[in-house]
Amino acid sequence: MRKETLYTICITLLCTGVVIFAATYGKNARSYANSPQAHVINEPHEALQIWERAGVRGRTLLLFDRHLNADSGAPPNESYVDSAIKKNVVRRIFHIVPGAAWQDVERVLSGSDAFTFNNGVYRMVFQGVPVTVMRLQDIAPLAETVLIAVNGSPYQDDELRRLGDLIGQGVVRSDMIIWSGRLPAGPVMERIGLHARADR
Amino acid sequence: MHALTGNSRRLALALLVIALILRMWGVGDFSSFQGDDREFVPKAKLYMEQGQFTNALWYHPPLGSILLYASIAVFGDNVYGWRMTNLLLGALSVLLVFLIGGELFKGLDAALLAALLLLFDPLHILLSRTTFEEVQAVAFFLAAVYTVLRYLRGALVWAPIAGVFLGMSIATKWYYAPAALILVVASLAGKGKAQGRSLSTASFTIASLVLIPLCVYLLVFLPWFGRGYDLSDLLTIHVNALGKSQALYLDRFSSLLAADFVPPSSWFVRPILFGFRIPAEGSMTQYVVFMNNMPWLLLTLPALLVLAWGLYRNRGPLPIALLLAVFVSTYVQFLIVQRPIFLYSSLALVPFAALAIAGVYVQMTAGIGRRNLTVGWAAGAVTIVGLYLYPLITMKHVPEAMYHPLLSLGRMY
Repeated sequence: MRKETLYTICITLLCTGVVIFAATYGKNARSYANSPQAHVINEPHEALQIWERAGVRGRTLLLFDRHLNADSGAPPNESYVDSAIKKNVVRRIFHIVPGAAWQDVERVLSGSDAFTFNNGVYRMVFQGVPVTVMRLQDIAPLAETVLIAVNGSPYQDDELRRLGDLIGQGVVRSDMIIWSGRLPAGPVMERIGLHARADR
Repeated sequence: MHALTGNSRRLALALLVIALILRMWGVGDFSSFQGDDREFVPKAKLYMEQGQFTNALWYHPPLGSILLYASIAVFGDNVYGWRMTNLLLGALSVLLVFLIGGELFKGLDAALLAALLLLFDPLHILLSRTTFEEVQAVAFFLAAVYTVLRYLRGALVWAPIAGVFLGMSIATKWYYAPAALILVVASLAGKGKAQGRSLSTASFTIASLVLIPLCVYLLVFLPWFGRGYDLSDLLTIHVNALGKSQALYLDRFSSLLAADFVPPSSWFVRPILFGFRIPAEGSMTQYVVFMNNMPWLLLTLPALLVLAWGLYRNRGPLPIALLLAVFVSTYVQFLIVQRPIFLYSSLALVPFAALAIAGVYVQMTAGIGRRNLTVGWAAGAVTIVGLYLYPLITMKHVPEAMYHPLLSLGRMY
């Protein structure tokens, strides 16, 4: 065997090892809740305490709220996502804004050079965390089990029903669903497991 | 120059020591953050301690943060810790230009002239005294070019070393991504020509210059992966970074940079100068001036044309073609990219401009005879101009009258 061939095999093996290591190292750094949990809370910011108590880490957050709530230094309800980023509870965010607010959101985001628009969603990186701003209808199936935080107040009932369907159909899988604000009428809460535990 | 021996070794060592002295002298005079230190130092700490990017500079690859953090760990959280990486790599760049010059051109004359041009380059000295990551990317890429040239000349061991340096350069800044491709193609072509078309040689070249850089690039993201990110997230953040780079407008940058923005098309065709003026006692003044290496760099484009013409006429050597292709691919990228590219990015081109100018000068004066005189005259001129400009970029106290005509070319704040 020529020397070059031997060295090529060694380099290829080494690099394959590095790629496999890089691919698994991050995934292994994520922490999930021991068992699926659902909580109803009074204030959105209480979600952070629950996440920390459960020891979740390095996670994707599906945030249902009008605002991202990541203003550093703002009152807790407007800054708890920023704290979750800093404490490495959250590493990636899908921010699903209410349909009724989408026009306003688009107007603001399309005028900002922090965001790029692609396939109906706006993307930015906030403190190194990829953030995708979208409507409920734009959610694609997610391979990863996610954290879900919902402030139900700004959403219509049919949007909340659709959320229940997404969870019920397994389009979105979550080990922790945390609900604040308005509770929807009908069987939505049961479908998403919130009948199991109401902290409020 | 196939190996450093005797005089060339002493010359190389002298260049390295002088480069280090010129870059280090007075660097500790200001113990607080200067310029972009206030962005880069917190960025390095946040990245290494928490694996997190800052809001301002998340779209740059993170090797610079790793090096800065390591430097702070060794030299302390002070002005030396913040700047030592650039001071050392800046000085090493001068040595690398000398070595590359020796590989590209016959004899030491062009190598020495090119090294002197970088030794006294005002922008290179200025940035070597800061935390700007351009200096690091340039040094690693120069090391990659040198090791590729050594690989083309013989020993296999240089190829994987070149791959490591190439990966380190791209993991600091993306400036040389197009040029990296050229290094790969040139290596394949050069080795193919020397050893015949061999699959094993081609595979080895690709493994060394593609797979190894890829691994280095992945490894510098380890602290970030530690936050739970995986390869798909890495892809996502790079797509976002590309999007961001298309959406960076002039008003997003500091008012000084924006007010004195000079497009890349002007970097090598006119004198560029702007900076700060700090009044001192009496008739003395201190300056921090951003400037291109006038008048020498204004010879860059003609020198490249001469080299290109020589290549076309004589089917010149591959290393010269490589020099041209590296310069052109990097420069074209700056010319066509949508975001504003500032003068400090021209540093990526400066060493290759210096090599081209020096090579052409020595080539054109070869016929005159009295070689020592022509090279000595050029080296002396570069040194005198460099020493004249040096106080302007290192905040030394200077009599204002002595620099008034020069400074009137640009804007001082």
